[in-house]
Amino acid sequence: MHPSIKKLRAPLFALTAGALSVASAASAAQPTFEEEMAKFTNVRVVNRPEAQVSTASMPALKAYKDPETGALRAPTQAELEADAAAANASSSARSRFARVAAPQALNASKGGRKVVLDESTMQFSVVTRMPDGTLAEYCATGKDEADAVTKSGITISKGEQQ
Amino acid sequence: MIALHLTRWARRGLVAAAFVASGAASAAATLTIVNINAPGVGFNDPTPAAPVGGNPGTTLGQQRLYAFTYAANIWGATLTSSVPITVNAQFTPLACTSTSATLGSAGATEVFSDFPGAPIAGVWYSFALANKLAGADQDPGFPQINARFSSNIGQTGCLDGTFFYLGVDGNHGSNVDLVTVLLHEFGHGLGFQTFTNGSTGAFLAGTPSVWDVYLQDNDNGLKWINMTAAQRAASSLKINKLVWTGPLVTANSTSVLLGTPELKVTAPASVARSYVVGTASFGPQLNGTGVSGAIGQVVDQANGTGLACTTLSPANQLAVAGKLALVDRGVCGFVVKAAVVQAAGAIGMIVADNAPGAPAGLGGSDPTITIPSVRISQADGVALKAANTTRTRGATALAGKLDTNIALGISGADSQGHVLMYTPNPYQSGSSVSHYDTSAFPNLLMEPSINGDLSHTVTPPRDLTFTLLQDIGW
Repeated sequence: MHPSIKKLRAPLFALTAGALSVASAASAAQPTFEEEMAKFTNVRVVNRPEAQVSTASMPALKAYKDPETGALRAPTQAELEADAAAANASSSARSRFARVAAPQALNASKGGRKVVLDESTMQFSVVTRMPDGTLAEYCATGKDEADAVTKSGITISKGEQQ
Repeated sequence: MIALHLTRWARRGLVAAAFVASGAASAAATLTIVNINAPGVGFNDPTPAAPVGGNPGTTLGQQRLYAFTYAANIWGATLTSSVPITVNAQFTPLACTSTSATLGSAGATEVFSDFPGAPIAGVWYSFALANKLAGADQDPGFPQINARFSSNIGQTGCLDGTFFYLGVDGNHGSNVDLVTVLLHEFGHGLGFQTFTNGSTGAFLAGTPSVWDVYLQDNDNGLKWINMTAAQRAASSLKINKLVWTGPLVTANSTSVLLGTPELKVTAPASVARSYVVGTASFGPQLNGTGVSGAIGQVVDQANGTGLACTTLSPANQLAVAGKLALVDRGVCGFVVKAAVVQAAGAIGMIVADNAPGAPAGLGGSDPTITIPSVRISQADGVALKAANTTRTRGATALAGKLDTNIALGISGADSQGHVLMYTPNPYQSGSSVSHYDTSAFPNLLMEPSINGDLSHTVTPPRDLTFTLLQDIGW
């Protein structure tokens, strides 16, 4: 289950006025990254990594051993990404968005009905490098379709480069 | 049959909407991006990166976050909703090979019908739109949109050497412009799609989508909401027959879409007529004024063809200087040919195809190209060359014009101004029906393929994405 969004009140990343004033003092001439981000007045950014990584696959529970020395060491970037991918696949498989049965309409809490969607209705963007080295991009619905297109390559002609 | 029931609110909305050009004088919505990446990866990747194209981030993670926020802010400044739109977002490894890759995905997490304030009864609305229409979160605690994008693009074995362009100035060159991809996928997440299965015609859980209210088959005049499943499945395969009838898209189609692009040959009389062309994603767009002049043929191969892949000889330079250059497809990219004839003084380029069939567009990207280019069919190329009987180094019998001609119809729309939806045959899961047709000119953000000439715009006079969302209730 997804924890309530209301739990996001202690974000790791928050563009607060106080933070911005400190950043401004540090560099008056060159806007900081946080100052540049604060210009996006229609967007708020919060961090919530726990929404993705399950307890069973938390990186903190895993040891990384140097293959040559046998000593424990910090994970490499590639290992971190592999762990994140595995955690993502694991949590995705358990999430309410992974479904094998036909979608069912439910009563919505505020009235009316709802359907919880899975990856079959998600829109995927796929790109293929054409024989001349240029790119053709394509939008597909559903992970199965996207995976198939990714595997076989794009064949639509509008973006022909040569 | 399903009765279409418009509430008084909806009728008033449609009338009011007719007076709204495209949106958004006082638009305001807040998108909350929930970064669900773990420390050290995705949005939190600490790999140093040099600021690029207006993106001030100094790490890969910061730059991803900035581009993501930039795109979200465009939508936030365009939409109107009192309910924040939460997007669960992450960069994570996705499927790919060395030549093809899934860039990312996005979509609504839930759909709702018959909620308090629903303008049309008995149809699905995407989560964020239902919240906006109801003025309240219909399922508190859950995100409205899920978004995942690839963190391994460019690495060995994953579209090797081609990366997401993380700048926000559109100068993506040969890389993938992340902001454009994000704008497109966010559009789907906000409701730019039907949840009805176009392949089988089956409604989602037996209920149509609001999208289906406006989707019409011009063959039988029926809306999708009033068809049988078999009729919908058949309709999704009818090329140039499935249209969007929403009032705002229709009203704005003539201001966004140009007349049908053409090569209008004016001499000699034996071949003087309008020719079907494919348009280019590089160089200036065609317009109603057009570019006219003599048509000079390049001949640089022993078999009489003109590839224009390298600097033209003096004779060929003389043949195309100040003229529309007629060249042949093959060997090198279209942008290379355009650069070569442009350097020789040509005022436009006509590429004759080297394979049978209707002329497709000319892909590629090169900001230095300043002349318009089109592609004509192989058969038309042969006919024009055959008619050029008086061709010499400096003389040609051919003359014509590259332009858009409203008399031939609005590109990407029917005679009523209803914009065509993408209906290839065979059916393409996901792309069919839920995108604008590829015949639209200029190219639209919500065509199935993302074209090189797109700008970071979702509203008229450049684009019709937000306009369609307005039709369904945004």
